[in-house]
Amino acid sequence: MKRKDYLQNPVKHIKINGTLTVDQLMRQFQGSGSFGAGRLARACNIYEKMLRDKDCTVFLALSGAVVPAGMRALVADLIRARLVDVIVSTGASMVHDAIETLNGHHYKGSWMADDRELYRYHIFRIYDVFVAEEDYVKLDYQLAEMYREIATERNGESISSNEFAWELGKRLKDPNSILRAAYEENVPIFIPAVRDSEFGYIHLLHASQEKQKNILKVDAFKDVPRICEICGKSPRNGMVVIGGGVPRNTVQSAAIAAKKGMDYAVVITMDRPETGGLSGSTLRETVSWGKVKGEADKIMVIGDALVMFPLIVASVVERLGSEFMRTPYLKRGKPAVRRSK
Amino acid sequence: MGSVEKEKRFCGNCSSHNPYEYPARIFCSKRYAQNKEPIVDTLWCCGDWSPVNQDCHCVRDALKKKSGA
Repeated sequence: MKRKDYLQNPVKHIKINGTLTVDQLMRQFQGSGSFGAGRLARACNIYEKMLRDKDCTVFLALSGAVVPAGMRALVADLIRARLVDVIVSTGASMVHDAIETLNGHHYKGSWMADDRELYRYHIFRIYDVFVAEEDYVKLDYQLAEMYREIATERNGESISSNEFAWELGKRLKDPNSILRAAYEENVPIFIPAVRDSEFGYIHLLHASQEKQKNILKVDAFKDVPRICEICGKSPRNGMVVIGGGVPRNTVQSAAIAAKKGMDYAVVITMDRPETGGLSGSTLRETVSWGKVKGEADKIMVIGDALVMFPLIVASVVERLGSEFMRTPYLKRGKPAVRRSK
Repeated sequence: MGSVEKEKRFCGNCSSHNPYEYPARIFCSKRYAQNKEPIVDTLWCCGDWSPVNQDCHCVRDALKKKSGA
Protein backbone atom coordinates (compact mmCIF):
# COMPACT_ATOMS: atom_id res chain seq x y z
CA MET A 1 0.00 0.00 0.00
CA LYS A 2 1.05 3.53 -0.66
CA ARG A 3 1.16 6.19 2.06
CA LYS A 4 -1.97 7.95 0.83
CA ASP A 5 -3.95 4.70 1.00
CA TYR A 6 -3.67 4.77 4.78
CA LEU A 7 -5.21 8.20 4.97
CA GLN A 8 -8.46 7.77 3.05
CA ASN A 9 -11.24 7.82 5.65
CA PRO A 10 -11.30 10.66 8.14
CA VAL A 11 -13.02 9.99 11.46
CA LYS A 12 -16.42 11.65 11.54
CA HIS A 13 -17.11 13.20 14.90
CA ILE A 14 -20.10 11.99 16.84
CA LYS A 15 -22.96 14.47 17.04
CA ILE A 16 -25.78 14.01 19.49
CA ASN A 17 -28.68 16.17 18.44
CA GLY A 18 -31.65 16.13 20.75
CA THR A 19 -33.51 12.87 20.56
CA LEU A 20 -31.51 10.14 18.94
CA THR A 21 -32.74 6.62 18.23
CA VAL A 22 -30.50 3.67 18.97
CA ASP A 23 -29.83 3.11 15.28
CA GLN A 24 -29.06 6.78 14.74
CA LEU A 25 -26.50 6.53 17.52
CA MET A 26 -25.04 3.41 15.88
CA ARG A 27 -24.73 5.33 12.59
CA GLN A 28 -22.81 8.01 14.46
CA PHE A 29 -20.57 5.28 15.86
CA GLN A 30 -20.09 4.01 12.32
CA GLY A 31 -19.03 7.47 11.21
CA SER A 32 -16.43 7.48 13.93
CA GLY A 33 -15.49 3.95 13.02
CA SER A 34 -13.09 3.84 15.89
CA PHE A 35 -12.37 1.66 18.92
CA GLY A 36 -15.36 0.04 20.61
CA ALA A 37 -17.87 2.32 18.86
CA GLY A 38 -16.61 1.27 15.43
CA ARG A 39 -16.70 -2.41 16.37
CA LEU A 40 -20.21 -2.12 17.75
CA ALA A 41 -21.47 -0.38 14.61
CA ARG A 42 -19.83 -3.04 12.47
CA ALA A 43 -21.49 -5.78 14.56
CA CYS A 44 -24.88 -4.20 13.78
CA ASN A 45 -24.07 -4.21 10.07
CA ILE A 46 -23.03 -7.87 10.13
CA TYR A 47 -26.08 -9.04 12.11
CA GLU A 48 -28.31 -7.10 9.71
CA LYS A 49 -26.58 -8.79 6.74
CA MET A 50 -27.10 -12.23 8.28
CA LEU A 51 -30.82 -11.55 8.66
CA ARG A 52 -31.23 -10.11 5.16
CA ASP A 53 -29.33 -13.03 3.62
CA LYS A 54 -32.17 -15.40 2.69
CA ASP A 55 -29.82 -18.38 2.62
CA CYS A 56 -28.21 -17.81 6.00
CA THR A 57 -28.95 -19.73 9.20
CA VAL A 58 -28.32 -17.61 12.30
CA PHE A 59 -26.83 -19.33 15.36
CA LEU A 60 -26.95 -17.63 18.76
CA ALA A 61 -24.41 -18.93 21.28
CA LEU A 62 -25.21 -18.08 24.89
CA SER A 63 -22.84 -18.25 27.82
CA GLY A 64 -22.46 -16.22 30.98
CA ALA A 65 -25.30 -14.98 33.12
CA VAL A 66 -27.53 -13.82 30.28
CA VAL A 67 -30.84 -14.45 32.04
CA PRO A 68 -30.05 -13.23 35.58
CA ALA A 69 -28.90 -9.92 34.12
CA GLY A 70 -32.22 -9.40 32.32
CA MET A 71 -31.90 -10.66 28.73
CA ARG A 72 -34.40 -13.51 28.99
CA ALA A 73 -37.34 -11.80 27.26
CA LEU A 74 -34.99 -10.33 24.63
CA VAL A 75 -33.81 -13.80 23.59
CA ALA A 76 -37.37 -15.22 23.68
CA ASP A 77 -38.54 -12.33 21.50
CA LEU A 78 -35.73 -12.95 18.99
CA ILE A 79 -36.87 -16.56 18.73
CA ARG A 80 -40.51 -15.58 18.18
CA ALA A 81 -39.54 -12.92 15.63
CA ARG A 82 -37.39 -15.45 13.75
CA LEU A 83 -34.30 -13.34 14.20
CA VAL A 84 -32.35 -16.36 15.44
CA ASP A 85 -32.66 -19.88 14.06
CA VAL A 86 -30.61 -22.10 16.35
CA ILE A 87 -29.50 -21.60 19.96
CA VAL A 88 -26.51 -23.23 21.60
CA SER A 89 -26.43 -22.53 25.30
CA THR A 90 -24.78 -23.38 28.56
CA GLY A 91 -26.94 -25.46 30.86
CA ALA A 92 -26.90 -22.61 33.37
CA SER A 93 -28.64 -20.13 31.07
CA MET A 94 -31.50 -22.58 30.52
CA VAL A 95 -31.61 -23.31 34.26
CA HIS A 96 -31.94 -19.58 34.95
CA ASP A 97 -34.71 -19.42 32.35
CA ALA A 98 -36.55 -22.32 33.98
CA ILE A 99 -36.20 -20.75 37.44
CA GLU A 100 -38.07 -17.65 36.25
CA THR A 101 -40.62 -19.83 34.46
CA LEU A 102 -41.43 -21.50 37.78
CA ASN A 103 -42.02 -18.11 39.45
CA GLY A 104 -38.52 -17.70 40.80
CA HIS A 105 -36.71 -14.38 40.49
CA HIS A 106 -33.32 -12.79 40.13
CA TYR A 107 -32.88 -9.72 42.32
CA LYS A 108 -30.81 -6.57 42.01
CA GLY A 109 -28.09 -6.88 44.62
CA SER A 110 -24.56 -5.69 45.24
CA TRP A 111 -21.14 -7.12 44.50
CA MET A 112 -20.08 -5.74 47.87
CA ALA A 113 -22.55 -7.84 49.88
CA ASP A 114 -21.25 -9.95 52.76
CA ASP A 115 -21.00 -13.36 51.09
CA ARG A 116 -20.78 -15.27 54.36
CA GLU A 117 -24.01 -13.64 55.46
CA LEU A 118 -25.61 -14.43 52.09
CA TYR A 119 -24.59 -18.06 52.62
CA ARG A 120 -26.30 -18.11 56.02
CA TYR A 121 -29.48 -16.76 54.43
CA HIS A 122 -29.28 -19.26 51.55
CA ILE A 123 -28.90 -16.52 48.95
CA PHE A 124 -26.59 -17.00 45.96
CA ARG A 125 -24.75 -14.11 44.29
CA ILE A 126 -24.08 -13.69 40.56
CA TYR A 127 -21.87 -10.59 40.69
CA ASP A 128 -24.49 -7.98 41.68
CA VAL A 129 -27.55 -10.16 41.20
CA PHE A 130 -29.04 -12.27 43.99
CA VAL A 131 -31.11 -15.44 43.73
CA ALA A 132 -32.73 -17.29 46.63
CA GLU A 133 -31.66 -20.90 47.03
CA GLU A 134 -35.29 -21.91 47.45
CA ASP A 135 -35.92 -20.90 43.82
CA TYR A 136 -33.30 -23.48 42.81
CA VAL A 137 -34.78 -26.04 45.21
CA LYS A 138 -38.27 -25.60 43.78
CA LEU A 139 -36.76 -25.99 40.33
CA ASP A 140 -34.96 -29.15 41.44
CA TYR A 141 -38.13 -30.65 42.84
CA GLN A 142 -40.33 -29.86 39.84
CA LEU A 143 -37.76 -30.74 37.19
CA ALA A 144 -36.89 -34.02 38.92
CA GLU A 145 -40.54 -34.93 38.45
CA MET A 146 -40.32 -33.86 34.78
CA TYR A 147 -37.17 -35.98 34.35
CA ARG A 148 -39.13 -38.98 35.65
CA GLU A 149 -41.99 -38.27 33.26
CA ILE A 150 -39.65 -37.87 30.26
CA ALA A 151 -37.70 -41.02 31.18
CA THR A 152 -40.95 -42.98 31.47
CA GLU A 153 -42.16 -41.73 28.11
CA ARG A 154 -38.82 -42.57 26.49
CA ASN A 155 -38.76 -45.96 28.18
CA GLY A 156 -35.04 -45.93 28.91
CA GLU A 157 -33.97 -44.61 25.51
CA SER A 158 -31.37 -41.84 25.61
CA ILE A 159 -32.20 -38.44 24.16
CA SER A 160 -30.03 -35.64 22.78
CA SER A 161 -29.63 -32.34 24.66
CA ASN A 162 -31.71 -30.80 21.86
CA GLU A 163 -34.57 -33.22 22.58
CA PHE A 164 -34.12 -32.61 26.32
CA ALA A 165 -34.56 -28.85 25.81
CA TRP A 166 -37.62 -29.52 23.65
CA GLU A 167 -39.15 -31.76 26.33
CA LEU A 168 -38.63 -29.09 28.98
CA GLY A 169 -40.07 -26.38 26.70
CA LYS A 170 -43.14 -28.55 26.15
CA ARG A 171 -43.75 -28.66 29.90
CA LEU A 172 -42.87 -25.07 30.86
CA LYS A 173 -45.84 -22.85 30.05
CA ASP A 174 -44.49 -19.30 30.51
CA PRO A 175 -44.58 -17.52 27.08
CA ASN A 176 -41.59 -15.37 28.11
CA SER A 177 -39.46 -18.44 28.59
CA ILE A 178 -36.62 -19.08 26.13
CA LEU A 179 -37.24 -22.83 26.34
CA ARG A 180 -40.97 -22.36 25.78
CA ALA A 181 -40.53 -19.94 22.88
CA ALA A 182 -38.09 -22.33 21.21
CA TYR A 183 -40.50 -25.22 21.68
CA GLU A 184 -43.41 -23.29 20.20
CA GLU A 185 -41.39 -21.87 17.29
CA ASN A 186 -39.53 -25.10 16.62
CA VAL A 187 -36.15 -23.44 17.13
CA PRO A 188 -33.59 -26.04 18.22
CA ILE A 189 -31.71 -25.43 21.45
CA PHE A 190 -28.52 -27.40 21.98
CA ILE A 191 -27.03 -27.68 25.48
CA PRO A 192 -23.74 -29.49 24.84
CA ALA A 193 -22.46 -29.24 28.44
CA VAL A 194 -25.85 -30.04 29.91
CA ARG A 195 -24.54 -31.74 33.06
CA ASP A 196 -22.39 -28.73 33.97
CA SER A 197 -25.27 -26.88 35.58
CA GLU A 198 -28.14 -27.47 37.97
CA PHE A 199 -29.51 -29.84 35.32
CA GLY A 200 -26.77 -32.27 36.38
CA TYR A 201 -27.64 -32.08 40.07
CA ILE A 202 -31.33 -32.43 39.32
CA HIS A 203 -30.36 -35.64 37.56
CA LEU A 204 -28.60 -36.78 40.72
CA LEU A 205 -31.76 -36.08 42.72
CA HIS A 206 -33.95 -37.83 40.14
CA ALA A 207 -31.66 -40.86 40.00
CA SER A 208 -31.42 -41.04 43.80
CA GLN A 209 -35.06 -42.04 44.18
CA GLU A 210 -35.50 -45.59 45.33
CA LYS A 211 -37.41 -47.90 42.98
CA GLN A 212 -37.01 -45.46 40.09
CA LYS A 213 -37.86 -47.57 37.05
CA ASN A 214 -36.48 -45.31 34.34
CA ILE A 215 -33.54 -42.94 34.75
CA LEU A 216 -33.36 -40.12 32.23
CA LYS A 217 -30.45 -40.49 29.85
CA VAL A 218 -29.19 -37.43 27.95
CA ASP A 219 -26.51 -38.14 25.36
CA ALA A 220 -24.88 -34.94 24.08
CA PHE A 221 -23.09 -36.91 21.34
CA LYS A 222 -26.47 -37.35 19.69
CA ASP A 223 -26.52 -33.59 19.04
CA VAL A 224 -23.43 -33.67 16.84
CA PRO A 225 -24.95 -35.08 13.63
CA ARG A 226 -28.04 -32.86 14.05
CA ILE A 227 -26.19 -29.55 14.40
CA CYS A 228 -23.73 -30.54 11.64
CA GLU A 229 -26.68 -31.37 9.40
CA ILE A 230 -28.15 -27.90 9.99
CA CYS A 231 -24.84 -26.24 9.08
CA GLY A 232 -24.42 -28.56 6.12
CA LYS A 233 -27.85 -27.96 4.64
CA SER A 234 -27.76 -24.21 5.06
CA PRO A 235 -26.05 -22.47 2.12
CA ARG A 236 -24.56 -19.90 4.51
CA ASN A 237 -24.15 -19.77 8.29
CA GLY A 238 -23.73 -16.91 10.73
CA MET A 239 -23.12 -16.81 14.45
CA VAL A 240 -23.73 -14.26 17.15
CA VAL A 241 -21.80 -15.22 20.25
CA ILE A 242 -22.39 -13.90 23.74
CA GLY A 243 -19.32 -14.80 25.78
CA GLY A 244 -17.72 -17.89 24.33
CA GLY A 245 -16.83 -21.20 25.94
CA VAL A 246 -18.55 -24.42 24.97
CA PRO A 247 -21.47 -22.78 23.09
CA ARG A 248 -19.17 -20.79 20.80
CA ASN A 249 -16.99 -23.77 20.02
CA THR A 250 -19.98 -26.02 19.44
CA VAL A 251 -21.24 -23.68 16.72
CA GLN A 252 -17.82 -23.19 15.15
CA SER A 253 -17.01 -26.88 15.25
CA ALA A 254 -20.30 -27.74 13.56
CA ALA A 255 -19.36 -25.35 10.76
CA ILE A 256 -16.01 -27.00 10.20
CA ALA A 257 -17.46 -30.51 10.52
CA ALA A 258 -19.90 -29.54 7.77
CA LYS A 259 -16.82 -28.52 5.77
CA LYS A 260 -18.02 -24.94 5.50
CA GLY A 261 -16.83 -22.42 8.07
CA MET A 262 -18.97 -19.52 9.22
CA ASP A 263 -19.84 -16.83 6.68
CA TYR A 264 -20.71 -14.22 9.30
CA ALA A 265 -19.54 -13.87 12.91
CA VAL A 266 -20.18 -11.43 15.73
CA VAL A 267 -18.53 -12.26 19.04
CA ILE A 268 -19.14 -10.19 22.18
CA THR A 269 -16.62 -10.94 24.88
CA MET A 270 -14.36 -9.41 27.50
CA ASP A 271 -11.91 -12.31 27.47
CA ARG A 272 -8.38 -11.95 26.18
CA PRO A 273 -6.59 -14.09 23.60
CA GLU A 274 -3.22 -14.44 25.36
CA THR A 275 -4.30 -17.37 27.56
CA GLY A 276 -5.07 -19.53 24.55
CA GLY A 277 -8.62 -20.03 25.84
CA LEU A 278 -11.41 -20.18 23.30
CA SER A 279 -13.57 -17.38 24.72
CA GLY A 280 -10.91 -14.76 24.08
CA SER A 281 -9.57 -16.23 20.86
CA THR A 282 -9.71 -13.74 18.04
CA LEU A 283 -11.72 -14.41 14.91
CA ARG A 284 -8.46 -14.32 12.95
CA GLU A 285 -7.30 -17.23 15.08
CA THR A 286 -10.61 -18.98 14.37
CA VAL A 287 -9.95 -18.54 10.64
CA SER A 288 -6.75 -20.58 11.06
CA TRP A 289 -8.92 -23.56 12.08
CA GLY A 290 -11.31 -23.10 9.19
CA LYS A 291 -14.17 -22.56 11.62
CA VAL A 292 -14.76 -19.08 10.22
CA LYS A 293 -14.04 -18.36 6.56
CA GLY A 294 -11.18 -16.03 5.80
CA GLU A 295 -13.48 -13.83 3.72
CA ALA A 296 -16.29 -13.91 6.31
CA ASP A 297 -17.86 -10.73 7.60
CA LYS A 298 -16.67 -10.85 11.17
CA ILE A 299 -16.10 -8.68 14.21
CA MET A 300 -15.26 -9.09 17.85
CA VAL A 301 -16.88 -6.59 20.19
CA ILE A 302 -14.98 -6.18 23.43
CA GLY A 303 -17.48 -5.29 26.10
CA ASP A 304 -20.21 -6.28 28.49
CA ALA A 305 -22.78 -8.29 26.51
CA LEU A 306 -25.58 -6.93 28.67
CA VAL A 307 -24.81 -3.50 27.20
CA MET A 308 -23.68 -4.48 23.71
CA PHE A 309 -26.19 -7.12 22.69
CA PRO A 310 -29.39 -5.13 23.39
CA LEU A 311 -27.85 -2.17 21.50
CA ILE A 312 -27.09 -4.38 18.50
CA VAL A 313 -30.58 -5.90 18.51
CA ALA A 314 -32.31 -2.54 18.98
CA SER A 315 -30.35 -0.98 16.13
CA VAL A 316 -30.92 -3.86 13.72
CA VAL A 317 -34.63 -4.22 14.53
CA GLU A 318 -34.99 -0.49 13.86
CA ARG A 319 -33.26 -0.87 10.49
CA LEU A 320 -35.37 -3.85 9.49
CA GLY A 321 -38.61 -2.05 10.27
CA SER A 322 -41.89 -3.58 11.31
CA GLU A 323 -42.71 -4.86 7.80
CA PHE A 324 -39.62 -7.03 7.56
CA MET A 325 -40.48 -10.70 7.25
CA ARG A 326 -37.97 -13.47 7.39
CA THR A 327 -38.35 -17.13 6.56
CA PRO A 328 -35.34 -18.94 7.98
CA TYR A 329 -33.69 -21.32 5.56
CA LEU A 330 -34.51 -24.19 7.91
CA LYS A 331 -38.20 -23.34 7.70
CA ARG A 332 -38.57 -22.94 3.95
CA GLY A 333 -42.03 -23.98 2.86
CA LYS A 334 -43.49 -22.95 6.22
CA PRO A 335 -45.30 -19.61 6.66
CA ALA A 336 -43.22 -16.56 7.57
CA VAL A 337 -44.02 -14.68 10.75
CA ARG A 338 -44.55 -10.93 10.72
CA ARG A 339 -42.88 -9.26 13.65
CA SER A 340 -45.23 -7.38 15.97
CA LYS A 341 -44.75 -3.63 15.99
CA MET B 1 -23.06 -35.96 65.78
CA GLY B 2 -23.33 -37.59 69.16
CA SER B 3 -22.07 -34.49 70.96
CA VAL B 4 -24.89 -32.29 69.65
CA GLU B 5 -27.64 -31.91 72.24
CA LYS B 6 -30.83 -33.59 71.10
CA GLU B 7 -32.94 -30.45 71.52
CA LYS B 8 -30.71 -28.64 68.99
CA ARG B 9 -31.29 -31.24 66.29
CA PHE B 10 -33.61 -29.81 63.67
CA CYS B 11 -34.13 -30.43 59.97
CA GLY B 12 -32.94 -26.84 59.52
CA ASN B 13 -29.44 -27.73 60.69
CA CYS B 14 -29.25 -31.16 59.11
CA SER B 15 -26.87 -31.80 56.21
CA SER B 16 -29.78 -32.95 53.99
CA HIS B 17 -31.62 -29.62 54.19
CA ASN B 18 -32.25 -26.96 51.57
CA PRO B 19 -34.70 -24.11 52.09
CA TYR B 20 -38.10 -24.52 50.46
CA GLU B 21 -40.00 -21.67 52.09
CA TYR B 22 -37.45 -19.80 54.12
CA PRO B 23 -37.34 -20.09 57.08
CA ALA B 24 -40.32 -22.29 57.96
CA ARG B 25 -40.02 -25.24 55.56
CA ILE B 26 -37.16 -27.15 54.06
CA PHE B 27 -36.66 -29.68 51.29
CA CYS B 28 -35.04 -32.90 52.46
CA SER B 29 -33.10 -34.68 49.71
CA LYS B 30 -32.82 -37.83 51.83
CA ARG B 31 -36.59 -38.14 52.20
CA TYR B 32 -37.01 -37.44 48.49
CA ALA B 33 -34.70 -40.35 47.69
CA GLN B 34 -36.76 -42.54 50.03
CA ASN B 35 -40.01 -41.56 48.27
CA LYS B 36 -41.27 -39.83 51.41
CA GLU B 37 -42.78 -36.32 51.48
CA PRO B 38 -39.63 -34.21 51.11
CA ILE B 39 -40.99 -30.88 52.33
CA VAL B 40 -40.91 -30.74 56.11
CA ASP B 41 -40.84 -28.13 58.87
CA THR B 42 -37.47 -26.57 59.58
CA LEU B 43 -37.98 -27.28 63.27
CA TRP B 44 -38.81 -30.96 62.76
CA CYS B 45 -36.23 -33.75 63.02
CA CYS B 46 -35.93 -37.45 62.18
CA GLY B 47 -33.59 -40.26 63.13
CA ASP B 48 -31.37 -39.72 60.07
CA TRP B 49 -30.23 -36.29 61.28
CA SER B 50 -26.60 -35.37 60.61
CA PRO B 51 -25.00 -31.99 61.27
CA VAL B 52 -24.36 -29.34 58.61
CA ASN B 53 -20.76 -28.35 58.01
CA GLN B 54 -21.52 -24.62 57.82
CA ASP B 55 -24.04 -22.71 59.87
CA CYS B 56 -27.02 -20.97 58.36
CA HIS B 57 -29.85 -18.90 59.81
CA CYS B 58 -32.66 -21.38 59.07
CA VAL B 59 -33.19 -22.61 62.64
CA ARG B 60 -32.59 -19.20 64.23
CA ASP B 61 -35.09 -17.50 61.91
CA ALA B 62 -37.63 -20.35 62.15
CA LEU B 63 -37.51 -20.14 65.94
CA LYS B 64 -37.97 -16.36 65.72
CA LYS B 65 -40.92 -16.81 63.39
CA LYS B 66 -42.48 -19.44 65.65
CA SER B 67 -42.18 -17.20 68.69
CA GLY B 68 -43.65 -14.30 66.70
CA ALA B 69 -40.51 -12.19 67.13
